[in-house]
Parts: sequence; structure tokens; C-alpha cells
Amino acid sequence: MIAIQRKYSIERRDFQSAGQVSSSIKKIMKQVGVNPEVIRRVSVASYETEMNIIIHSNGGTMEFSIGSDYIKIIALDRGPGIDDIDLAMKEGYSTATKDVRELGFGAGMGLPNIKRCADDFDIQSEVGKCTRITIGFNL
Amino acid sequence: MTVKELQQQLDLEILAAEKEIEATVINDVYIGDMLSWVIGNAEAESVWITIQTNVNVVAVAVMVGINCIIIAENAHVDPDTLLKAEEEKIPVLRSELTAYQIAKRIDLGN
Ligand SMILES: Nc1ncnc2c1ncn2[C@@H]1O[C@H](COP(=O)(O)OP(=O)(O)OP(=O)(O)O)[C@@H](O)[C@H]1O
Ligand SMILES: [Mg+2]
Repeated sequence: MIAIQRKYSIERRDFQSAGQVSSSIKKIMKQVGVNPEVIRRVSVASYETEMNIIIHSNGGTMEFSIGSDYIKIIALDRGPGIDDIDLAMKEGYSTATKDVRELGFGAGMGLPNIKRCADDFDIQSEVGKCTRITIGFNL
Repeated sequence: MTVKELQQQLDLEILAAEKEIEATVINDVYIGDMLSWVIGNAEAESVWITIQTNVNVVAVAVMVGINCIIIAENAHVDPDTLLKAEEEKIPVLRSELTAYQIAKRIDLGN
């Protein structure tokens, strides 16, 4: 049973939106009374995912769904994809440019943060095409 | 210790969400300028001391549950950041002191 489902589109380099999608997702979770500890984990994972799409991709979408016993986020972007996923998952690895580092991004901790917060995590990428991240949480 | 007590003690400049400072209690302190590092390590209900001032600091605070931001060393703050902090009810305070000097004066009572 899916209680709520939303799909958001995300533009590349849109730093001023500052986590708008994640804020919306957080509001929904609060409204339906999700446990605060889970809200925090989902919020962290969705914010890191959203900012990665803004910073590193050509734009994409995030889908959020919440059922009676799980929460799921599916992020799909329009490339450029990730060549070496094992490397991208390493703490401290980042290809962030100087301008985004000045904003405080580029620690290379985003993907590790997502994985640590999630109960299920899957990342797949086709270079030149897309990156797809699926994140699941048990309620 | 409340944010208001700290504000008075250190004579911090209040930049946003003044109404919230009296009720906001400091349970922990985190210092950092790399956003994902803060996201991964700061506890909820912390005060966050930083020199990072773009609008994304407010988003990070909201996601993590950080309840007050203190800008150290009088760093210039973007107007967008203050608007968003006001909207999200997260106090933003500022000092000419360094992060170390600010943190040193926060008494968590433990
Ligand atoms: N959606 C994406 N499309 C293409 N590359 C990506 C995407 N997400 C992450 N990457 C690559 O993986 C690297 C590591 O990502 P991660 O989120 O861990 O760190 P970061 O975004 O560089 O810095 P931080 O998240 O700490 O601000 C990125 O620097 C980038 O090279
Ligand atoms: Mg990232």
C-alpha cells in the first residue's frame, strides 16, 4: 500500500533552491507523524542526493513514497554518470570544483552519508546517460 | 544554557529569528565549514559555529535539526540566508570572535 507518492524535478546548478525538495519531503514526514530519528535519516539522505543532482548532474528527478512500513526515494538524473562507483563512494573523494567548494560542498562525504543513513541503498550509473540511486528506510 | 544567555554573555549580534532565542536550549556544539561533514556528524539540537554563510547552511541546519547558527569572525552573511533562517525559525547570530573563542564560552553544564 502506498499512502503518499510525490515526484519532484531538480535543475542543475540551482544552488539558491537550497534543498527545497528535501524540505518538502521533510514536511510530509512530519505531517504523517514519522518518528523523528527516521525523519532525520531520510532528510540527510534526501538532501545529499538532491545536492548531488544539482552539483554534479545535468538535472533530474526525485521520487518519494511512503507506505505503512517503509519510505523510498528514487533519484534519476540525466548524466553525465559516474565512471567508478567504488571510488565515488569513498569518504573524501570529490570532483567538486572550486566554486562549489567555496559554498561548503565537496568534502566527499555525501554518498557515504546517504549509505550510512539508509536501510537499503543502491546506486547504478551509465556513463554519458544517467545515475540512478534508490534509498529505502524501514518504518 | 539558552541561546539568549549566550547571546547576552558574548554580546552576539542577532541577524535572524530573534523571537526563538529565548526558548532555544543549547545541548551540544559543532564547529565546521564543510556541509557534508556537519551533516554526518553534528547532533540534533546543537549550536553550529561556522564561517560558511550561504543559504545552504540553513538547509543543512533544517535537515540535521541544528537549532542555532553562530557566524564567527564577522563573516559577511548573504541576505538570502537570513530570509530563509527567519522562515525556518533558526536563529542566526554573529560575533567577531573565532569559533574557538565562542565555543570556549559555551557552558553545557556537563
Ligand atoms: N548524481 C551524480 N552524477 C554524477 N556524479 C556524481 C553524482 N553524485 C555524485 N557524483 C560523483 O561522486 C563524487 C562523490 O560524491 P559525494 O556526494 O560523496 O561528494 P561531493 O558531492 O563531491 O561532496 P559533498 O557531498 O561532501 O559535498 C562527486 O564528487 C562526483 O564526482
Ligand atoms: Mg555530495
